[in-house]
Amino acid sequence: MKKLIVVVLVLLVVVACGGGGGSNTPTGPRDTLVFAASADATTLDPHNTTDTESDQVIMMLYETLIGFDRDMKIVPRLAERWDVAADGVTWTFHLRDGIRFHDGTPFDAEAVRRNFARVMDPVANHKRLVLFDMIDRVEAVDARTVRITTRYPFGAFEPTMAHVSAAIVNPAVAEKFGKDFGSAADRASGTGPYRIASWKKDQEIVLERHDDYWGEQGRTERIVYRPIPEAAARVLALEAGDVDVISRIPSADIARLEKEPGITVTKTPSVGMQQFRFNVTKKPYTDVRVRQAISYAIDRRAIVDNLVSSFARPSTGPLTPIMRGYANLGEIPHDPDKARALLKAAGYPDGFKTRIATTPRYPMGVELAEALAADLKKVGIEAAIDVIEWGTMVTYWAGLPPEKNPQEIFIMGAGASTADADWGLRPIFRSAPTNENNYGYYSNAEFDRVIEAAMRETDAEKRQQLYRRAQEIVYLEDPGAVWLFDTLYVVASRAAVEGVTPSPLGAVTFAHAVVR
Amino acid sequence: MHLLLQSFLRLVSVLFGISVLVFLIVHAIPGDPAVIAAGLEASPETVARIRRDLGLDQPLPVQFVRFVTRAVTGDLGTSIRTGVPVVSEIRERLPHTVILTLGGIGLAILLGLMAGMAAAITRRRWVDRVVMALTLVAVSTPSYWLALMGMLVFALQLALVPSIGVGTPLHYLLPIVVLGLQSGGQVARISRAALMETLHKEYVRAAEARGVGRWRVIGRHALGNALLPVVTLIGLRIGGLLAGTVLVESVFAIPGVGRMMVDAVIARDFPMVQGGVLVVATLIVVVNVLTDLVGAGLDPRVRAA
Amino acid sequence: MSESWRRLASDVPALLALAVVALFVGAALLADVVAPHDALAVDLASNYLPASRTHLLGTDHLGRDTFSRLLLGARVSLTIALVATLAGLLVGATLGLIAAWRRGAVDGTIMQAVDVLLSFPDMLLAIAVAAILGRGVMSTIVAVAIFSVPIFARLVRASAQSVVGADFVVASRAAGASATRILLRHVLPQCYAPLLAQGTITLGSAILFASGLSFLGLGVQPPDPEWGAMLSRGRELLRSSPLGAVAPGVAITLVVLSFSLLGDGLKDALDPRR
Repeated sequence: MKKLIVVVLVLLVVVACGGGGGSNTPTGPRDTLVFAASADATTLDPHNTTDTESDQVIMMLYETLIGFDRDMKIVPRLAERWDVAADGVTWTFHLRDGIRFHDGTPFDAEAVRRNFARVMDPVANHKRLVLFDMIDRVEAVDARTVRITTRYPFGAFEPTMAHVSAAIVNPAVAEKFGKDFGSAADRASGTGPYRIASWKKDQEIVLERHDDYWGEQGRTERIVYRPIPEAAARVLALEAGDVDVISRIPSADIARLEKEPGITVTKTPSVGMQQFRFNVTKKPYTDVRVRQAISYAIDRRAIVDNLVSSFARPSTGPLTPIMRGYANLGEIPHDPDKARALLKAAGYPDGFKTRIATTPRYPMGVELAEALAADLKKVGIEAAIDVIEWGTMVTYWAGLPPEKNPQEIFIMGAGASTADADWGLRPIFRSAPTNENNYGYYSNAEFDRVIEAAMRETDAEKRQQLYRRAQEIVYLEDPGAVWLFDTLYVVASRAAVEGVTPSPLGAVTFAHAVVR
Repeated sequence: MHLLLQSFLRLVSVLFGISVLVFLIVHAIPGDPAVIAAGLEASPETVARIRRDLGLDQPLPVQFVRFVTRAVTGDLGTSIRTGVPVVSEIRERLPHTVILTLGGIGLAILLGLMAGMAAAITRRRWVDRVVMALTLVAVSTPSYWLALMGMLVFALQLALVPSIGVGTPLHYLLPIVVLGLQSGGQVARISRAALMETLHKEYVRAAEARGVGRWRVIGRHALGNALLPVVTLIGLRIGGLLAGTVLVESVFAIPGVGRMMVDAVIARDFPMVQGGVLVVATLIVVVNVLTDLVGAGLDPRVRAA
Repeated sequence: MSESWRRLASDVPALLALAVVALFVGAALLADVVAPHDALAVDLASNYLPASRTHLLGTDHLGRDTFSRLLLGARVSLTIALVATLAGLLVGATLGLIAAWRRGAVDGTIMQAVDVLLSFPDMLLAIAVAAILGRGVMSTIVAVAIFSVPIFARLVRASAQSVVGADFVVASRAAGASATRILLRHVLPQCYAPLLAQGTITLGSAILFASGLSFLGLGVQPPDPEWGAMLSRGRELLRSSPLGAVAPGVAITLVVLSFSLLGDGLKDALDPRR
């Protein structure tokens, strides 16, 4: 027994020394950067994905004709210039010369045509089909010119073309693998600054620099994506130096990491926002005064300052400031007296009972519902909370007719992936028979009219006026939701990391990142 | 031979039961896999087409028969979420889970027997209790908590081991220690009880009376007899261990089968859930059968019968 | 029985464990009376407070008193453990008794079902149950109960088998006693000791299991405090406000440990062979 103890002790000492001695400082930039994602990518097919974890890898492998810069301005990518004819429906893209896909095949107008044929093919049925609803046809005029004709003048055409799902994949590879394109390392090919080297499911995706890239070369040889599902473990791994960059950080840890000397925290204004929506077909939310009362009953400042201060700014409208078409309508004040008066006017002087549905999928989702319920209690409304698992939650949002949907107030995180007012307002508030996109059955005749007109308006000035009007209606006059806050996209990295690009779409890319 | 045949029949019938159970459960869970796969911005037509592609529009008995007949030929279908065959998704992840489980069991046996022996040899109640209490503390702590604490201390503060991932053997150390401590407590409990019991037996006392050293007595007589309940326990615990790796896999970011199945349930990826459960259950039943056989080999009573 | 009591009374760790359990049961029963604050009162402005005289264990993310929530949480957690264990015991014991009594095909079928349950990854089964029934105390109880059924069934079957063939059972059978009567009168009492010991231990694992469910985002509904949910919430605060994170962890470990020690003590005390 004694011998055993000695052996164990010796082993411990050896391990301890070995661990201590291993901390040699590397010189010069490292050849590998490790990013801890919260989940593995599901697919690397840009036409067939809707999740951020996949999108942020996709953004490294493929490119769009035109893209967003850090401030969501439209900039040239694979197309060096583009224009729209006076008819408002004919768009011409002039492609850059000398671009090659990862396997060496040249990129040309025909490749673009085949890509749109792929994503818009109703039989292949890719998930992003619906986004390109307005496109009538895509033609390759010559090797370097593409003409796209829309079915009607579409105000948000450019942001749609800059959307990640309009990315151009290598058509030969895509057609070879069909539905299986993007499901493994040897089934993904684009023009992006990095190419895929290997993909071990749930373990790591390794990208390596595409040396034939047309633009500025990547500064790091390999970018590794390592999925760590547990948030607390992600933070620990960053602090231990096992990964270089993390996102989706627990809010309490953000404030602490900001004070850590070896860590840099960046916060990017994003398209994301957190709201609780009303099912306006359920009594008493049929009454606009009740919805207004609830909006005034909520102390947004207290929530933002105490609960989510590290990643939120109070809402100032139904869109976030960085989105095209945003109008600053101001914060809605906390006014319980006004709320009580409105409730009284609506015939509920003693309040009523209601239910709030939420899901922990959203950061602080459950706590926000609890804070909401506490505020509502102060104006006499008794709210019970239903915490619903994500897989079940989405079934409530899957095109149910009102009579089949029991939800009353429910959490919703919105973030239009085109960063444009059209996608941020039209699908989710325009009158519709079911709640396939308009989860709360919101219906307002004037809103419908204005939003439809705005979509077809291509004059920037007039478009902005129409969107402002639409936002006034849904935010103040006939509220469709309680907007709580706009979210900041938070990324933390080791201090030695430079050039990480967080996107307002809530994704992070590493085209020019380096570890010093 | 009779025993082997019996074991095989048991294997088949349990697996059939598992297939029925997992199929029923999967279809009782609310949530439409097509809706989830399509994403929130998809149109109803997209969803309907995905549903048709997946064969989810077929009647349940038809779906079940198809599932079983395919499974028999080794085809577990295709993942809804990733479009990759379930078999290859599992093949990629299974080694990690197996390493964790075997490592956990190995460490558990080692720690458990050591603790049990220490307790049995000293024969002082307080030593016994202290050793048992220490192992019990590990068993009594939620595994994810133990894992996070371990990571905090050994990966961050002492920097002895990597925090997460699976690159090198060292990566597995902390997860295995967490799993081993958790199950080791139970093994310790069983082996202690078994040791105590055999130490009270006539022949052990007789051997001691003959002047044979206590260590030899334990090594020769007691340990062998104590192994039987330990083997039985491992058979019983293997299910918990294999499936229980899920929390540890999540915390340490290990790409194992447990985590895969939990993700699959949340994403309503039915083929992945069914395939995963079937494979894990097969392993569990096989280990159960093996431990039964080993147990039969170890136990003189069963051998005689 | 008195002999067993005497043995238990001389078992110091078991007694200590009993005291801890009694303390937490007391806290659970009297939570409303002894709690210094309203465990559900939200006050955002005073969240994440450190420990102080007014807030013994500080406050949580919504400014609620952690100590008061811990006390109230004892009620929720212990209720889940108790009801789930009893349900599992009842179903498992019944199955085990039937299997031992009827033998043959019935025994085979029951043990087959038990084998299926044992071979089903338990955490996954629990997630599925939570997904089917919706989150809440009820689904947690059902999930925990299901996972404990096979243990009790095997235990009772094993104990009962040794009695079923005994002379006095055969005699009562010959005397025309009904099966139910024999089982309840003669067979079941033989299983009390192992059942009591195993039941106590299962109480502890039930709490652990429920906390694992909370970790995976399932478990009870707010605003009810449950230890597992508190701990799972607290893991994100481990570094920034450790007290709120550690307190529920210590509570869980302490109670589960006590149940185990008590179970061991009971096993030793009730075991007629010692």
